[in-house]
Amino acid sequence: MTLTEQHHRQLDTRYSETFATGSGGIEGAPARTRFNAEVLNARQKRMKAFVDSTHDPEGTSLESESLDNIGIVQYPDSYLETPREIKLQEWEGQVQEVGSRYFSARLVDLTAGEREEAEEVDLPLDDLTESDRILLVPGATFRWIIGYRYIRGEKERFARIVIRRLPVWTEQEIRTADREAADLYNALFGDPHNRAATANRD
Amino acid sequence: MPFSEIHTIGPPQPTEIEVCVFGPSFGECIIVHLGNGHWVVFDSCMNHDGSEPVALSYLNALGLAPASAIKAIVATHWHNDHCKGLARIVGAAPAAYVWISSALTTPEFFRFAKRMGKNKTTVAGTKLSEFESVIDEIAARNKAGLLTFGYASSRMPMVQIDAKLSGHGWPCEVTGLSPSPGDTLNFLTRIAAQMPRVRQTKHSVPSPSPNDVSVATLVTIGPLSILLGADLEKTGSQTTGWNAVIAAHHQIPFGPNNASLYKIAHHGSENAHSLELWQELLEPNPFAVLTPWRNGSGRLPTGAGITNIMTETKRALATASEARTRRPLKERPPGVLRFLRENNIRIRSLTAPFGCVRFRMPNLQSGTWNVEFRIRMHASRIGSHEGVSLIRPALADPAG
Repeated sequence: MTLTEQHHRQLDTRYSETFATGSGGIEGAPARTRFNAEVLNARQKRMKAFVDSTHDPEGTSLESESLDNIGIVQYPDSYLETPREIKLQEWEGQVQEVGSRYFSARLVDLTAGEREEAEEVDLPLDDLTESDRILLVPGATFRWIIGYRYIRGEKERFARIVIRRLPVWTEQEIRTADREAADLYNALFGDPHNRAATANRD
Repeated sequence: MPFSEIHTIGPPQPTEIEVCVFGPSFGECIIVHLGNGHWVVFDSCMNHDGSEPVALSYLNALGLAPASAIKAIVATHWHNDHCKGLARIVGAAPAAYVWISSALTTPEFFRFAKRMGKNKTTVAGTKLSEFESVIDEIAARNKAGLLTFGYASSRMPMVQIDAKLSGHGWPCEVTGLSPSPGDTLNFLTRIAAQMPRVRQTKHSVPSPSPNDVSVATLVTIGPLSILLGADLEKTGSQTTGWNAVIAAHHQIPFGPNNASLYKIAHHGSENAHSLELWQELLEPNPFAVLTPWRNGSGRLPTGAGITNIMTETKRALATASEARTRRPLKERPPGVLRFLRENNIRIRSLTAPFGCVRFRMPNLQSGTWNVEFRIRMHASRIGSHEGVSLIRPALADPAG
């Protein structure tokens, strides 16, 4: 049993006397938000006492109460809705060439903890979504995952290729890089001001 | 004699010249013994299991200490198939002079490298990271007062050994043939166009071709000449690439004699083939050796490239046979293997048991090269031999 499953089971046990609201994401699945009657009652009492003392029903001091205390159980996204996946193999790839039906890439075996490209492969373009195909250019990087997933108790094999949407170079990064480049250049060839002074002396 | 008995063969005699060309199907390293324990390393690639630069493995196997044996290191260009492990060699040979293409020591290229280095989006890093490490190592040496760095260009004498110190009584010189000023200008123009800019999407280092800042080198030892072509290509201009080298040779000839041994430029590509080079810088029918290269579906040499070479010499060698040098794939979960098999997806290993061709010339007067054996690297040692005096007519068939 996974940690998530254990957590859900504990929650189910703890809130055995609950009632549900809303509709489940999956037909027949329990609702995601549940209210515990005991806790709700206790909260209503505290609220009444608070209102009586302050005469300010719109006060916000209750915002600091923890979720456990206000009677609402916030379930994580239901494991019944999101397929549970077991990765058997994961690579990072860098596209080398894009052909008419296949693209070739060099791979880093992330599962093996490697950090250098040690393998290459030709993958069919059909495996990519249309939005990913636009991003498929030499130099693009992607993740390729092969594994199993469970959907409604069914185990099935899956493979997924996701082309990375890369960030942009920021002004800060460029400024830092240029400073490092200048420092390195000066370390090798000397500061330009000193070089000029030396030239003048000559 | 198997290569595992290299300890009994031992290092070359002080009077003996050696040229050892290492090359799996991706990567290249050449080490040259000029005489009397003076070794020069050109570029770097890793050994069979990727644990160490092959130059260090080889010298250690010969019983030599890299720190004292290596007198100079030449980084012909910054591509990762020529740079892998170079920083470790530089670190292992603190007294060795390090030569880098002049175009790569410009402020523009430093800026390009550092900006690219800010792209941390991939696990594998940028293709420039090894080169950056080399520069950092050199900068650290400079800071410590060790001035062991130079920038290579056309006609730059990189190593000079007096006849009295060479062990065989002949003077030695290692001279740069490239890059020319035209090469440098072209390179900087391309770098400017590819320079990362603010708000531009991060990308990897662009396609490296053409290799016009590569440092081609002429090694002269008395009457002997050896031409190391690096990755220099032939361009359409008379002021760049091999054309510029030939033009400079016409003005003042390089070396006393034409070369009897040629490390074929750019893995035997058609772009690197220059008829003038074969006719004017090399002896007729010279020994020629190449390191094969593959990247994706790209393969060098191509069939046409092999034909070009075989037209000029019948003594052409290769360091590795593409079909036989691939390592077996690693073990993976059955579910992964089944998926790959069912979808007809083949993963190919980039690492390979190593290939090498070693030349030795015991007697400079004779001018005769002994091609002693071809080395292949294996798991627990540098390797075992595969044939003696190997001259591979199989080069005509790259899969052979």
